[in-house]
Amino acid sequence: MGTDSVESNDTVHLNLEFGGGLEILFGSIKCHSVDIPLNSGSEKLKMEHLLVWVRDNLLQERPEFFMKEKSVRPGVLVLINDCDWELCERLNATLENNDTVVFISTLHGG
Amino acid sequence: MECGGHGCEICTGSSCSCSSTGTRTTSSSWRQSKVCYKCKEAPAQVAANQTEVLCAGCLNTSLFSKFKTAVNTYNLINPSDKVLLAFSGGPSSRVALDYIFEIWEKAKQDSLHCSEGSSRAFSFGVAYVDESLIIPVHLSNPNKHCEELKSIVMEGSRRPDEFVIISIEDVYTDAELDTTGECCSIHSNKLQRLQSLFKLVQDPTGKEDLLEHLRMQALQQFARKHGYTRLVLGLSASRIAVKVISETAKGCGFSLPAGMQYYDGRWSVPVVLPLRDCIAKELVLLCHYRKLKWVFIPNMSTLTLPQKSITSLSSSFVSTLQEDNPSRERTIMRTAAKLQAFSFNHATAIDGHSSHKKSASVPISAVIDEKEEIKDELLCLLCCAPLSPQESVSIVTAFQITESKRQQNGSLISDTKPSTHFLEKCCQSCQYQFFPVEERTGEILSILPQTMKNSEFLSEKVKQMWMRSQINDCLLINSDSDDETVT
Repeated sequence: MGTDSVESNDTVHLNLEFGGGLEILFGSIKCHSVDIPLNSGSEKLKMEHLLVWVRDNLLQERPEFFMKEKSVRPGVLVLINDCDWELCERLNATLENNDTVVFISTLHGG
Repeated sequence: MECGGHGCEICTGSSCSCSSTGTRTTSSSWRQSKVCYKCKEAPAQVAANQTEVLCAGCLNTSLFSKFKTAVNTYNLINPSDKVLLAFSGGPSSRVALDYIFEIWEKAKQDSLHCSEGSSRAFSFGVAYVDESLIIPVHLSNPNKHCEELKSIVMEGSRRPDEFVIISIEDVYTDAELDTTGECCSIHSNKLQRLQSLFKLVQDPTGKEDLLEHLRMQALQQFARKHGYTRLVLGLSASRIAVKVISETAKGCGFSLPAGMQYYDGRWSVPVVLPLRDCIAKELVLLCHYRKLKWVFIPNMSTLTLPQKSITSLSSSFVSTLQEDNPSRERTIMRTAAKLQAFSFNHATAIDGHSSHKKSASVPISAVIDEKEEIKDELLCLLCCAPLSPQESVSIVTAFQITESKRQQNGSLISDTKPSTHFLEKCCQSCQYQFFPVEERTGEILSILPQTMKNSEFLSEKVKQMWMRSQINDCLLINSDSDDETVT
């Protein structure tokens, strides 16, 4: 989970936020500061890989409420630096150091 | 975008809810490739639908415009009104709170500048229904949630006239807790009674719907008691789309238009939906961009698989459709909106203000049209959905049989069980969901809140319909004026 932000060529430092009830799946913690290791041979981190890392390293329960197959569950909004990931190539979006990725569930609106 | 508190295009009016959290620079090419469809200046941040990409400022302008258009076009909130916002803590009602504050401030400023007596601002209160009694204990933290909600509503620079927390168990009045008559002696307080009721209703969809009906009853009771004239719900197009699917699946297609119009006058305190044209994604993102704090409060379906209830399945289905095509929710809602609305969905303007003749506390509605002819719909005792023609015929037929027996026997006492009498006045969906087992009907009936069992006015309307059917053959219809004359 959160580590110091010593940058490394092999990791990408990100700020993750979970809202709309998703935080329940992550120990009821909304904000996470994380260092994501790059896959060997990869120079860039993509959203697709971030999701897998989050599922395997941060998620504490019920992965089916966060992800569906390779993407997030329908009804979960994703913002990359305050930009809707629909405008950012979604799973192919490239993430850089100190980017902020926000996941918000809309399933409990009202 | 960050204005550092000095105001920016994102914020409306005089309040600025942006905070500068540092510059977020981006360098990848995809991040700077699109500009806002509306202003053509700021970078696009939101894919609002298939063709429109908006910046945060234009998103806010668009949603506020929809809100004001709904309020003004359909007279949802008038200067003489006392408005109660049902605040769930979620993003939709959070936006509704903020936008009502905006129009309230403007109305108050306008009233100051107008000559004395010619204009005044509406009154505004906020209510939250605490349902923690029904939520699984490990998810529920009512004290923390209530504190958070109170801080959102009352501790900003703007605050309503009052903020109240209504406990769901207060749908039972103190008077009905006395164990007399039909009430079972073992149910001695509100908490026990409510928990017992939910244990008896075993269908998961039934539990969710029952909670929704109780919530509305609790809000109506409070609003009525404190003189409110409008109940605002933050129901979005997304939630309405889910209701369209779920209500259709439950066989409630006839009553579908009732709860999805801007104005719903079948309640003692009319219900209005000023955010009806906004989708959930836009409202959630608006809260994010404007730093409008909202509270996620677990409900019955939290951390349960969609397969557990029709509502959850419908929600999951609509979300999946929306992933495929971002305009699906609006399409579903617009398609359903083509169904003819009921008479209680049209507020009649009287003396310059929207008004609606209402019975005091029961689910019967009437509207006065130009010919001063009262039109009525029969409403289900439990869910207040308009009864279909077949269901209405069944009630009238049952009444006719009872009347015939009474006239034959000369007795006022009916040999039909009270539970049967009650079921006759419920829609088929409620009968199936809440009373699938005949043996338990009496037990459930005994612990339903009294407000959901009051059938006096419904019985009176049924009697009127029956009497009308008796003289129908004697009525002449004038083809020119459509007046009916008794011959």
